[in-house]
Amino acid sequence: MKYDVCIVGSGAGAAPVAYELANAGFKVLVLEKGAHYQKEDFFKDEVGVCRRSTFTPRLDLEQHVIEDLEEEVWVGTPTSQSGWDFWNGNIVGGSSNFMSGYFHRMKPDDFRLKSKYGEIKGANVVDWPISYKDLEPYYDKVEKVVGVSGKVVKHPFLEPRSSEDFPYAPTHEHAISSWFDEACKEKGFNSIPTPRAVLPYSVGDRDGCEYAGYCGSYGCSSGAKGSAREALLNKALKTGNLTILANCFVKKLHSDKKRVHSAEYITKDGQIEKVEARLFVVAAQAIESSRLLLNSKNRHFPYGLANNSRQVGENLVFSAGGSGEGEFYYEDLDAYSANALKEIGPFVNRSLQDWYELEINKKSHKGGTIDFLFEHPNAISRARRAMYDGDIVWGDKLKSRLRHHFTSRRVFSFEIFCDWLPTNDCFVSLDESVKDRWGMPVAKVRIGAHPHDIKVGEKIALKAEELLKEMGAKNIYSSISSAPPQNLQAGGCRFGNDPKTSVLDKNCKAHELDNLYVSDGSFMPTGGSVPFTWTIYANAFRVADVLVKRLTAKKDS
Amino acid sequence: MIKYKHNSKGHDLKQNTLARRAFLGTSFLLGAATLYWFNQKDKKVRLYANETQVLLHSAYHLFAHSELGLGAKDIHIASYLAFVLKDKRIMKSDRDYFLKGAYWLEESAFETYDSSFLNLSYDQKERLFQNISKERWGRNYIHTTLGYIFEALLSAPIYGSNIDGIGWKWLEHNPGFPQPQFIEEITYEV
Repeated sequence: MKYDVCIVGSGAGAAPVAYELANAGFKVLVLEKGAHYQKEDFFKDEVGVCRRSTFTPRLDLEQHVIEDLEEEVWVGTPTSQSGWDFWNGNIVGGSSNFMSGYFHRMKPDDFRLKSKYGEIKGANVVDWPISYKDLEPYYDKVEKVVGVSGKVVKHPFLEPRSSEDFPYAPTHEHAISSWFDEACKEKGFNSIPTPRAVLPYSVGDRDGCEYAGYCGSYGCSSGAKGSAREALLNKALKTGNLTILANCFVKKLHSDKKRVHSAEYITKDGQIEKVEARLFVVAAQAIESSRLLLNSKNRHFPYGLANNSRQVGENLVFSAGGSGEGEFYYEDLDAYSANALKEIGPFVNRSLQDWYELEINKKSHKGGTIDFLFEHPNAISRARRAMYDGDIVWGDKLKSRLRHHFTSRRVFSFEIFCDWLPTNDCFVSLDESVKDRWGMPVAKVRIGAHPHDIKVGEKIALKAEELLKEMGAKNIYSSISSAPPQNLQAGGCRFGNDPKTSVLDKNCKAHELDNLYVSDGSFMPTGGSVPFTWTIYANAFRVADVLVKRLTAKKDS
Repeated sequence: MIKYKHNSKGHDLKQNTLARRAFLGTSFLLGAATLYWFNQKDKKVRLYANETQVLLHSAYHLFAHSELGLGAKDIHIASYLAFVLKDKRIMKSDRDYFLKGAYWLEESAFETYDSSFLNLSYDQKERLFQNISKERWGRNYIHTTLGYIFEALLSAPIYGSNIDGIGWKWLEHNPGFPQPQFIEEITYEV
């Protein structure tokens, strides 16, 4: 059978395309490397979910090679040796199953970073070929179709919106949210209720949030979280036009000079199959999408598919920034407040964007977003933090520390999201000497960061610390790092108007091929100072519109 | 939620990498002797059992029952370690390295006290752990063992430890819901 569209991957960049095309009556095939789970399969099992390779590949079977700078030399280390896992959820729905669901839109200036703030030496900053205005209708669509809860409040960096407010009211909030608001008032900061891809009540087949308190890192057992699987693929399957083949790893795309004609994949049983389609969409998450194109080299594309410009894999970006925390001790609070603080379940749902633009050396620069949350309740990882007191400790000393960590206080945290400036030192290539379980070269990822990222992160961290101090937290600290958060990856196939400096055109079609699109975060030339998922969803809906129009026009003619 | 290097599965990555490199060098030197022992069918069984016993008794010492609370025996660490040693989701190289740590601890016990670790007094064991914690392999072994103790203490009871949530109760921890009722079959090839 020849499909209208074959999509590689099933996460936030893939599912909107599958959803829209299946609803428009086209035959869609999704090829997903991982298994197909449903909400009934997800449990709060810290060992299974967070400490073992259950929803991600075991690293000796599939891995990456990470190139880090050691004494001015780039040294590559396979992740099976380092344990630094760059997989983020290899199941139907991808890493969106495991997101926390902080949903922020990018701001209009994020689309014209170079024009607005100028060049930064050593960074490959460019303007996007589309504007916020082009993407706004799709941000709006995500709010309604995927489901975003929240409340719009005015603040200096509120982006223009076509809908007055979110379609879903905010999820229940923790008592600390009101403490946060009071502290913001004192400091003159603008407290923002964080929009969240979590439904506060049941809608269709999706139940409302159960407030188990373990959102990030876990698959959602109620279906409230707007994962690509729950919010889009399950609905698209009902059209009868979508086929999902799980446990199928796409090894290579085959093309002639102008068109991709088939995808070669390996089934769970090790069978090699090929499938044909009119259009091909790659959305395997940024690093793996670049890897697939690089592994698909042929005589027309000796450097990899769509890579005669040698741009595939270049300008990979992550989210820069870092995190921090402060402690609230129960003994410092009255009994009512202490009990309120102990409650597990309701969300903090608070962010600050007052420093989305800031001044460094009397010049305006892009700043970032601060999201506030409690320390993740995962017990084993919290216990591990008690293991060191300068030196490693055990016995009664360890037990005292465990009791202290768990029973005397609650840790209030923040995460900072800034632009990771694209540079020549952050890219994806292939490591021909390290192969995966199917014999394919793995992705080699160089992770160099621009020093400017640290300056921005540190400046914003001071503001977050100031707020925690106002709230009465103790032992406040922050850590801004140039180490990439592996779950926040984008770029590698940036879009643009010039085929010499970009892989994709403004509709995310490969410049060099007529029927190849990349619809995950790979298209992003810069990442904005927010988590990427909402933008990836929105852009994939935009690409889906282009594909529906294209296929409809051909059908009609 | 941001995933960072040092949050990833909780490993001390730099330390692990360096230690593994050190281990590769050491195992090359030990290779012939080690292989000889491992290739002898009857010796292999004895050697393996000895290492698992050393692991178990390491856990008993590092997290002994006391006035301050639960100990490794209380949380059924033996069941949990048995699960860990057959869990296919853990890389074989990591399991081997863990067992190698026990082997080196036993070796250190003989070097220091001319006795198996299992036969040492509490104070001798304590001094031995203090000594090996000054070495990279020793810190790694203690780190890994404590990591599995924490898992036994705080994981879902389906894994054979933390029966009736005894560890959760001790630390007043809310484990969330739903909790798993069975261990999913893992089909990785080994």
